[in-house]
Amino acid sequence: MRLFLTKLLLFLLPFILLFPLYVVMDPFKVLRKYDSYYPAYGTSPANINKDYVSTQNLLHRYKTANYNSFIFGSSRSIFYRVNEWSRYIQTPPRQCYHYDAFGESLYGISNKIRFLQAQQIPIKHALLIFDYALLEGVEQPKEYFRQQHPAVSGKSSIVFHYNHFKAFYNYRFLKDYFTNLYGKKSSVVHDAALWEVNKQTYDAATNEARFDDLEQLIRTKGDAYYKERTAVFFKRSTTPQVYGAVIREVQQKQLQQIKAIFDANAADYRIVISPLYDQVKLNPEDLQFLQKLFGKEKVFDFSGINSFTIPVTNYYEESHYRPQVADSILKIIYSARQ
Amino acid sequence: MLFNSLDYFLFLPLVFILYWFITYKKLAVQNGMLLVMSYVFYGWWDWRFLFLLLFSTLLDYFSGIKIHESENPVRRKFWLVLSIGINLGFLGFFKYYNFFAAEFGALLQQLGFNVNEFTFKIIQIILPVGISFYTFHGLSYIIDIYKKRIPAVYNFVEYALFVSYFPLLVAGPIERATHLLPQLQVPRKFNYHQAVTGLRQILWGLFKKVVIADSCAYYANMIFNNSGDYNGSTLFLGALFFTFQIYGDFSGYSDIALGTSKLFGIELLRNFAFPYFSRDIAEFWRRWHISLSTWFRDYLYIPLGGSKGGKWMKVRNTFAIFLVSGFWHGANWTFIVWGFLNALYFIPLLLSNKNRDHINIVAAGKLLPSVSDVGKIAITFFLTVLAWIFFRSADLTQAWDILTTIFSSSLLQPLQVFPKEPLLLIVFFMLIEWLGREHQFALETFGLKWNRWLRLAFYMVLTVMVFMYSGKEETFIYFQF
Repeated sequence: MRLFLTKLLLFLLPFILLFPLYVVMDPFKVLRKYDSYYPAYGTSPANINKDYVSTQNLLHRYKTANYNSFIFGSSRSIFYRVNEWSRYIQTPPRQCYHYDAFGESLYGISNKIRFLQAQQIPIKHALLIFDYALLEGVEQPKEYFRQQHPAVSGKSSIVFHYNHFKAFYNYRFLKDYFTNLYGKKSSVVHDAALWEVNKQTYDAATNEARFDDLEQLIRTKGDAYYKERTAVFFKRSTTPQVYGAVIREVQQKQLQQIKAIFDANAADYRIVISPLYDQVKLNPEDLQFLQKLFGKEKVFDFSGINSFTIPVTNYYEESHYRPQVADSILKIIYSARQ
Repeated sequence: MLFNSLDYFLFLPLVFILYWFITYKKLAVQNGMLLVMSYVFYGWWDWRFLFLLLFSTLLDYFSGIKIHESENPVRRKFWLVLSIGINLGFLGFFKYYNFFAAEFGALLQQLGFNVNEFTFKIIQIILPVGISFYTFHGLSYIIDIYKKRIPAVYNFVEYALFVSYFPLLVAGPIERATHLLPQLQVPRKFNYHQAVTGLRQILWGLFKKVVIADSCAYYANMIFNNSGDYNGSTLFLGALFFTFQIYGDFSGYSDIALGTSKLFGIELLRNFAFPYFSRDIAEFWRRWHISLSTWFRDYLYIPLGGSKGGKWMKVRNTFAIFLVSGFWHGANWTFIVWGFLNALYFIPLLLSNKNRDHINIVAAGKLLPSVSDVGKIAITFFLTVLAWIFFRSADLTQAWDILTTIFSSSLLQPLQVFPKEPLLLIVFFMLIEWLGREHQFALETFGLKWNRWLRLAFYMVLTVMVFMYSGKEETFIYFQF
């Protein structure tokens, strides 16, 4: 038996050594605390779990930062800039926090809002950026970079860390990771996610990313940017389309919990239904529920065919719209109050 | 839990340590631990399925005892029918309900009856993983007791372990009580050579699954899922990819199962014996999914009269087992036609008494086969590829469209897809399989006469390839059956 185990261990040593390597490298930045989880300007060698970063960064700072205003949403909410928003809510930008996650779901947002309440962090202002896909999600997604911080989800931190380790223990990941770290980075992939290939400027104080390089690229290339991406910007239907209703009992409960916490905080909030490139409208039943629960004056639907969704130039790709759209939406939703 | 996952890579050493270092002193404790870990392994998919597994186990355990203890033929038959009825009832409900509901509804509609959507409601049923396999374990046990081939087992842990032993729980091999139970009832001793052979078999199984099957799956899926876009030559290539995918997938699973079990000193039934080197369909079926073929032979073909009756009885019984075998794979006409086609291939051999012409291993003791053997292998392989088209297609229309395109002038057109890497991998794979065909699995003795460092390097190359191609954790095709 001893001979068997010795030989087996020696044979598997390269694979076993990956574990200490993972601990040393901490590629997803989930093992240790960091002042900033992204480079101040650049790209991360690994796809980092934004949900974890958002929460961990918040925990690290909230006692001194006195946050009281929050933007919630998926990566589609990135372009609602804190500086711009703070003008409307008359709050110093440093007290605003962009509490987002990649592939955010309603499950994620409701957990985050409950978490803020549990931490006794006041919610004076809130901006919720919804869309069909976000409202549909009522469970924790499986991908490691979408796993919610255990402190927020209340789920096992062992499972959380194990899922991250599993993602590391993968040849394709290791190859890409070490290439990104030490080798020549791949050139711009036209259908890759924004944060994979474009340098971002990250501000840990607001947990906000800016993609100025990408904006510059569009300004420089102009129409060529869009012509190069005809496969990404798929042809849209000319007849109006509507998504199926997604708000069911689970979502209703989660939305009611959000409303109750907002009410308890006497929060001033707005809900935006994103103007997505697909131009498919949120189901009227869903919209009606949101308006009935939160009030018509709080819910703003920009989905479907409209002046935001018609110009292709309002989008980086088929999923994310540009800051100019977010700025215009902020103007509309906050002027509507007056 | 999938064999090709990191979960299993951590689970297996844990069970190994518990088995040989913690619980080894007492057989009952060791078996109990194996049973608990088998339930953990199974519950990893969905813990709710465990209730069905436990119920099926309890049913067969008590039915077995009742049948064994009773001398009254009526009572014995009652327990037999009850057990078989409930087992097949569960299998039928989970696997075939929607198929029959849809087909019966369509039939009534064709006969002019007014069928509304609620008459035969199609319901969302999640098929419990491995239900066909563990149901067949239980059935063989009950039938063997009824036939007085074996006594009932009174130790519940031993019986439950026989049904749910994790290496074979979800996709076989379909074990027999006469083979596995005696091994579970005696203390096992660690055997270095058996364990090393087990590791080699696991490595080869992983190579088959992760490197061969998953690489082929990508192209097979691409071609079959868009079959209308491809010409005959490309569709045939797609069928070839599926042919190697299903072999690598299922025999790879079986190798990992057998290898894993060897680590615990328990030998499982062989499930594959290099079927693509068969010289006729009868030989193919002696080498493909052996544990299922022999199960059908012993519990269906022989009880129906086997080969003892006249010619027509042989034909009827052969069709019966092939059709049932097809249906066992799933509730779809494609599987039934696949079974029917294999029966058609088989019948001429049976009627001309040539079905046992090729009992021995092809070109035994030689490096290369004769020209005649090459021809026979090629024809058998070609027939098998054609049958797999039905197995893989979504429905009969798609299968027919693919076949008609293959047998058209477009077969001579250039390939629209020509992936070199998986084709090279297949050549490498089949070469090793050919060289190892006289053994239980290709790697059993392959390279044993080499310099140890060279052999180690070869194993390391295979291991690194498995690691390089892994990460997707593609499920096994046979889990759906």
